[in-house]
Amino acid sequence: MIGSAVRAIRWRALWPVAAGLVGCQAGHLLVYRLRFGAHAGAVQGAGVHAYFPQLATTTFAVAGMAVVAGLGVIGAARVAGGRCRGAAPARPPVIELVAALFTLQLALFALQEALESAASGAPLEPVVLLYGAACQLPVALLGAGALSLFLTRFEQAVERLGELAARPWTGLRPAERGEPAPLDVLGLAAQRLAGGLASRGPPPIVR
Amino acid sequence: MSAIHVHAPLLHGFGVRYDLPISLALYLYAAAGVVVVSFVMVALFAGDRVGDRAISYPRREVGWLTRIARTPCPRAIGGIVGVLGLLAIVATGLLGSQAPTRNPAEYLTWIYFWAALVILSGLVGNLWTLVNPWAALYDISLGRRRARPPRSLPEGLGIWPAAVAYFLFAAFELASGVSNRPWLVATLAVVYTVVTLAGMAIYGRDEWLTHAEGFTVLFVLVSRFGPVEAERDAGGSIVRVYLRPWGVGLLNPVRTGWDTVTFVILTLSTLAFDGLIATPAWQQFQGDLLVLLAPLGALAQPVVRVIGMLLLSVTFLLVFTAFTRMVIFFGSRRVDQMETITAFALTLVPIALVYNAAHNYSYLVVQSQGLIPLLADPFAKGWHLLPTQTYVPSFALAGASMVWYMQIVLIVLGHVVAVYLAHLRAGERFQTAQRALLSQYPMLLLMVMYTMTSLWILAQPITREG
Repeated sequence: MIGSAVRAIRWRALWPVAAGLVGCQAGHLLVYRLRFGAHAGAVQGAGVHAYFPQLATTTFAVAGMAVVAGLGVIGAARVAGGRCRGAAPARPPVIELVAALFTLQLALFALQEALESAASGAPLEPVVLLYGAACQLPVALLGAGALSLFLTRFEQAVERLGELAARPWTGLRPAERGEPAPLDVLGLAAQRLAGGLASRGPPPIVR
Repeated sequence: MSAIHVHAPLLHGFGVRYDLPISLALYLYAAAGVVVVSFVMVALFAGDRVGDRAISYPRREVGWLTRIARTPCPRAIGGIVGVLGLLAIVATGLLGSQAPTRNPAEYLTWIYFWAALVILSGLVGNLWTLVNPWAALYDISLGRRRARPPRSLPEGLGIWPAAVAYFLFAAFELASGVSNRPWLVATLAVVYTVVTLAGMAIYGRDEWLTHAEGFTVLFVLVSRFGPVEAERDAGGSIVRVYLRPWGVGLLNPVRTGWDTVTFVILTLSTLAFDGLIATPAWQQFQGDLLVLLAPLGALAQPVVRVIGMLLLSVTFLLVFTAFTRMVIFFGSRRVDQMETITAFALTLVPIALVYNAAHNYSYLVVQSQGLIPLLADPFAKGWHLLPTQTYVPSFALAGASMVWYMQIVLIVLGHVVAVYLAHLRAGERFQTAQRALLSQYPMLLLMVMYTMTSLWILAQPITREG
């Protein structure tokens, strides 16, 4: 029973999980910014929290590369198959995405803070969770909006590339170019002559 | 209510804090354990109830209640009580003492109406439908020549206006910092009366009450928990009155939509916020934000609290939605998502009720007695209308340890009932015992977390680890 449920997880469900992992670190940064203001950088890189700058940088770098790769796939699909003119596939409901991202981010944030507290030997300050909720929410909202837009286009692009890949290979052929229109030299000259030389020079108002 | 205790030391005050004989964490784990065990028991003894059988329940018609309910007496008596209560709030609020502990308006509004009537309606049935003063005033003034309302509320508006009204009322109580001013309570009661009567006149009595009047929507919701069920005809008249087990009314169909889900969540989140603002964590959070919002001056604190209330409500809503989505996923059956989310939201109502009772326990058993001496001199004019002036409130039921254990029992009980109802709902939605059981693991996790969080919040002002 559990196995069938697990098998039923579509890869699409993994995107929010990945986004939640990244969003959690972004929310974490916001928490420190809100709590410590200008000193945030120094505080979050000290003590048991020393790992955080490295983790955040790596996470954002990986996320950035994934987004660029995703955009590359979308671009490749457009170059290869042209802009898709069919009906856009249904977007995942944004409220459900926000709910999933926020819950995941908050849970990860709480876990991260709990582990840090355990490592430092100090009890977890409950106020941190309030900050967590306040800061993970805007990140989840932005993330859900972006993910909803990105997922739709990315899936469409993957589908398009899949269709193109399934077509038989017909080899390379030169790009289609239409014949250039012949230059109407005589017509152009007649136009110039009809305007006369008077039309040359400064505009009438300054003459 | 928190604002009241600035001037009224009795409210939310417990005197000496209770030294816990064991660590608070152990209490929290034990409470969570009880919820888990109850889940196992429900799965064992009610796990085979699936389909429509899961949400059907026994009920028995009560002849004498039907006969009484079909007479105009209950509504007339209730209406008189309600209108007198409203008049008392307005009159004493405007003309009585402006010290909150010396003014009946504060007791009537915050303890007898807001705390006691909600709990009583959950325990008995919809008493608000009898005592609603605005409905009574409307019926007296326009009831006999009730014409077709000139306008109707837009389709799809749902109960959003009621949710907004409820949130504003909660914000006035918890965030404004001025809910302890009797004249303001009285003035707002007058304003709300005018708005409600105008709304009923323009949009129709029942239309307004069931969509825009926050208290009516609240009482209809909580009374689903109660054991009294009235069957009405097409015209709204009571045909029969039944008795049913507590809680099962929440399995009956309800209007589907985010408005209903949000309203249910607001009943939980505003109560939780009321508890949260008494914790040191909130004080620290609020203090930090007040520094940031210092330019707002006196408005900074209400703004921070409204933000906090909104934040908590959104957090509750999103976490509940995420968990219900997991419930649907593990249920492995195609169901209407909105209908399912709404149906599961109703299973949270018992938690709201018990949290209300636990949170307001000391109000109900101690502070409520403060009204008795005031009956002798409600306007603080030196009158002796009744021989109650020297009455001293009894603290017999409100020692800190008593309060703490009562809160544990109530909170755990509410969550156990919620687990049971959610399991029945899962049986109805997902049709097989296996799927229903599997779907309920996320809900169990949510209930365990919520039980522990609720108890932690409630413990902060009254206990100290021994």
